[in-house]
Amino acid sequence: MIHANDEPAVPMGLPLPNGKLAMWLFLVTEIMFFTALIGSYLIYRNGQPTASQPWPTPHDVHLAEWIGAVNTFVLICSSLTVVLALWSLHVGNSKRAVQYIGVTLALGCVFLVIKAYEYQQKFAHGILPGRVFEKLDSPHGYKYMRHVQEQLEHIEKHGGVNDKAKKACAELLADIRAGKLQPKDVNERVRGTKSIKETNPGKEFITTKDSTYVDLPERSRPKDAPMVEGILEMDTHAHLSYSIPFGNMWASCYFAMTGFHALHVFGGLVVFAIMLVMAWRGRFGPQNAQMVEVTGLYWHFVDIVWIFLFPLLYLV
Amino acid sequence: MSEQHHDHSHGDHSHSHGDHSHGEHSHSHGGDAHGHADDAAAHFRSYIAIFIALCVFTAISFVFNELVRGGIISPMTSATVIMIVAIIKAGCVAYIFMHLKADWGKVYCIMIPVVIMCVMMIIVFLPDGVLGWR
Amino acid sequence: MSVGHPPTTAAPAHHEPSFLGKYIFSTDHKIIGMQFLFTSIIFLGLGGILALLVRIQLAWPHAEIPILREWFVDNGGRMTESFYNMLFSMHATVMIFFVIIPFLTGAFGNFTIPLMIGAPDMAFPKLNMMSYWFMWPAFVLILASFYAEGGAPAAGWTSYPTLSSITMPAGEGLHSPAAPNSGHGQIFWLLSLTCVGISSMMGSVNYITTIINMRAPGMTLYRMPMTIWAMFITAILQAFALPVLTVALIYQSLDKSIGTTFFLPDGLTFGNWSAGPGGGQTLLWQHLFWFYSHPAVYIMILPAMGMVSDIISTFARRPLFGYRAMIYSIAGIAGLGFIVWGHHMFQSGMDPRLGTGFMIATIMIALPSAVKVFNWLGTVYRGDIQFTTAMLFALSFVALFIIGGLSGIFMAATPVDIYIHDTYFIVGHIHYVLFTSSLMGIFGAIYYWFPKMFGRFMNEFWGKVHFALTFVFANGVFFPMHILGTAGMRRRIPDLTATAFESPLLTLNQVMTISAILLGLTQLIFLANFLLSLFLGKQTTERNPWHSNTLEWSAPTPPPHGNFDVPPVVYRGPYEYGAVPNRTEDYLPQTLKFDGPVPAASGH
Repeated sequence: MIHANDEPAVPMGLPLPNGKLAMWLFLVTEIMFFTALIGSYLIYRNGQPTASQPWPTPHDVHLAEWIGAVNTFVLICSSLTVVLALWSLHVGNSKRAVQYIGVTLALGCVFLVIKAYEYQQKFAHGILPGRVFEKLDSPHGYKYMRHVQEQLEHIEKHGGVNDKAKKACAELLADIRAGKLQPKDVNERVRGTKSIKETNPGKEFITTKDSTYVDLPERSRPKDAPMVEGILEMDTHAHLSYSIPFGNMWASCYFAMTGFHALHVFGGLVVFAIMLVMAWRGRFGPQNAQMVEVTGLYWHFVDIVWIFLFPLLYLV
Repeated sequence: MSEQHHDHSHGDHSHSHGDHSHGEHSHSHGGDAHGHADDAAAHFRSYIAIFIALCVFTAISFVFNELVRGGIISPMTSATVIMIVAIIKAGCVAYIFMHLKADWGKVYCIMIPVVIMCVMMIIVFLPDGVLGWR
Repeated sequence: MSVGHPPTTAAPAHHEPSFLGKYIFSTDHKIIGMQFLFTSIIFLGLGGILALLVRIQLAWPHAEIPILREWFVDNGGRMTESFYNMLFSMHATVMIFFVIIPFLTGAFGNFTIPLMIGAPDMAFPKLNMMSYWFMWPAFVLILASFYAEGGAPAAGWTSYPTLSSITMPAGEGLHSPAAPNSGHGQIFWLLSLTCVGISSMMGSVNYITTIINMRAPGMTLYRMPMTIWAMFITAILQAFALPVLTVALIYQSLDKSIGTTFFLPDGLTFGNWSAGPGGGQTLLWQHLFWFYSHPAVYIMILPAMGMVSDIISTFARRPLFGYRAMIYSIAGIAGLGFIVWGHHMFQSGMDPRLGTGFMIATIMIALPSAVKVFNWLGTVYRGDIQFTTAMLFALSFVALFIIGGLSGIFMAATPVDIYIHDTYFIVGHIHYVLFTSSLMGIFGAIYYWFPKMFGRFMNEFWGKVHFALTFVFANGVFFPMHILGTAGMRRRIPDLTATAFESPLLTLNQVMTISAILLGLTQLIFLANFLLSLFLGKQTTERNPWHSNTLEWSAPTPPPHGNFDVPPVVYRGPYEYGAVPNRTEDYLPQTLKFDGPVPAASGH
């Protein structure tokens, strides 16, 4: 051991405060956590789905891209305000810092409200894990047909769709009751094939030999097959179920990923709320710069996660 | 705001190890009062610039997605662009908002392994999870 | 000693807190360490009882069970097969997640880290307390799973889907159509492990921060004792690997509760009942699980390696041979540990291209492990060895780790693994690594640090008796497992008489079971020694009874709140043992300012 014995007693450690170092380490665990979530999503998405049984498009699962984009914008704004809060503390303007934190809290709440609206849409359309109809071969198919029949009866009784769709609903219900239809015919008449070109740009119509999963009309029909105008094309607000291959897997991944992200957002909001309470009691000032910085690190990380979730779930 | 704030108010153990200086010129606080205002203004400008860049990038990824719908570019091109844009955006947030510009030298030894680990994990899952089904 | 605490009393530095504040909701790292220590010892007893029941069933598959026979009236007083499945699943779970890991990182991590780096406490004492109290939901849930409808989980500690995760369709309850034990009990298991994970995550962030930022002046990274290095790298392993397990656990509990199908494939049917829409990937669970659980194997051995290094160097009175090589080999084991998880999956249908890579990486782990073994031998060689109980356990750690390590290389090679996979060979391997290595290291560490923890010695005579009997009986239980494995005895089979090729192995199993019962009884000696020594043991009269160099021995015994009466300053590395000119003692404490020549490891 060759150490000299008379070194000066210098302090050890990184020039980082404990809180900040611990936050970076916590973020390491969080990075691994979200990597596992995103990684398994990529695997589910790119693994089993095929050309004839593709992963659902946002349109299939009632996901509006622009809502995701707005949410991205909201989170970016909140990231800016939190960094400006820290900046204000450093230039000595505690009051402005508190205002920025308040805006951050508000933006975070807006994010969660938009998310809640999206979730509500999923619940309304039954896009929930384990409840999406995928395969229409028996017995799933007959379960699906019964389900549509109930939905049609509900529409018949309570209305809620436009006249054209209402007429088509009545016809479909009559045909189901008469026992004329196979589950996949019901699916085709609910969903329609008219707007396929618009909703599936760049996708070729595929005729497949794989006859096991030919329940999705648009992707397995020959090019010259007649187009059917579906009830959902007449009235997009009709609550009628249709088959979505891998819809359950999509919903599982969607809720797991956005749910954990939303939980993290909520956690951050709690800390911002605590800061506001401190400010309200007059105990918030430049001495809290480290608290703001550490919380900010966390908040930016939450933002970064969303920066990846948005394209992965809504766009690509 | 002349004194530096490196107390451990966040951690519940206030063990002060002497000089946890943040006094890098690139960091927003510290340094002498003179030149401080310039420094602060420069930081403010960089934050706003990054914010604008992030908005533009979000718009770019949104537009590219719409272009696919219009059939102008292939889904593969758009996916590549969108993912690159996402990585750039994440980099911007980490580099400026999370102050990695100033702190990289202190945390690189934990950040580099975790990034390698993430990428490696996903790549190693691919043969079983994805290629196995092809 | 200017502060004026008498060196051997337990006077706290600050106000006297109430019993509740001092021992239950304590933020003092030493008390938290002891809380982990005591709960781990209790769970060690539980895990041991489960193991003995497994052994009894294997040795006498058709006998009535002596005490529990009323439980199995329907089965003629004999154990049911699903009960047997539950036993080995819970034995492994308890031993891994509630004994070995809390012992190593919880008890000794907490106790040693601040003391050995010269810090007054952890960086975040309250977080530290939370990391212990987050274990309690886990304790409650894992114990509750025994009473859950259908019983405790029985799908093995690895809980592979689909056996573990097959569920009813959404909204139709949590019962499992696959096996009764995979219902509520399995959900408790998943939640329990999630709590353990959160606790470990808090602990690891705290440990890393403490070790990086709270070191005493002069305590450079390359002056840290091996225990601290091992704890540091273990904490990094936990921080990186645990979140992945958390995701897997959450996914499986979602599969079981709300009808997701992350791990349930297409077309799964049980009788005439179809398992939902499918679309999931069973193999993904194994990947995610082993991504954590293989590093977890190193979490379960590295701290023991570190502590054994310290014990060996102290009692061999020789500098640790190849200090830096030891550090690099620990880091190497940890780094490689992240890219070898697939060797648990050679038989799972994993892509063979991956298998080759995993095989090569796994075999490479033998290199740093061998470096460590040779360095321990180099440390002991020509040492002035003091055969204390702690040293005996540490030496047996080295000896038996060689067996455990070598049998690991068998499994690393895919062609050999295909033959011995899921046989008793692998059971023998894991028990050599976890019992005769990790647990031996833990016993050594308990005997070594007991005087510092409680101010009293454990009885050396009974300690040596404990050691000798444990050594003999542990080998008596675990060594035959290798023979059985190569003879083809399968893992997780309750009745050996069911097949012709396993029936002849019954006699050897009976020998093992007798050994196991004696091994269990031997631990009662330890328990008695431990508990009696707490109150009646010989009191320590000096701070540094083992004449060790590391910082914890310069603190008062037992260390008060805040640890050190004189803030330590470090002038040297931790392993400078041996005779030096101008000094009567054969050791140079790290806090000693001494200008003479210092002992060096030979060949260093």
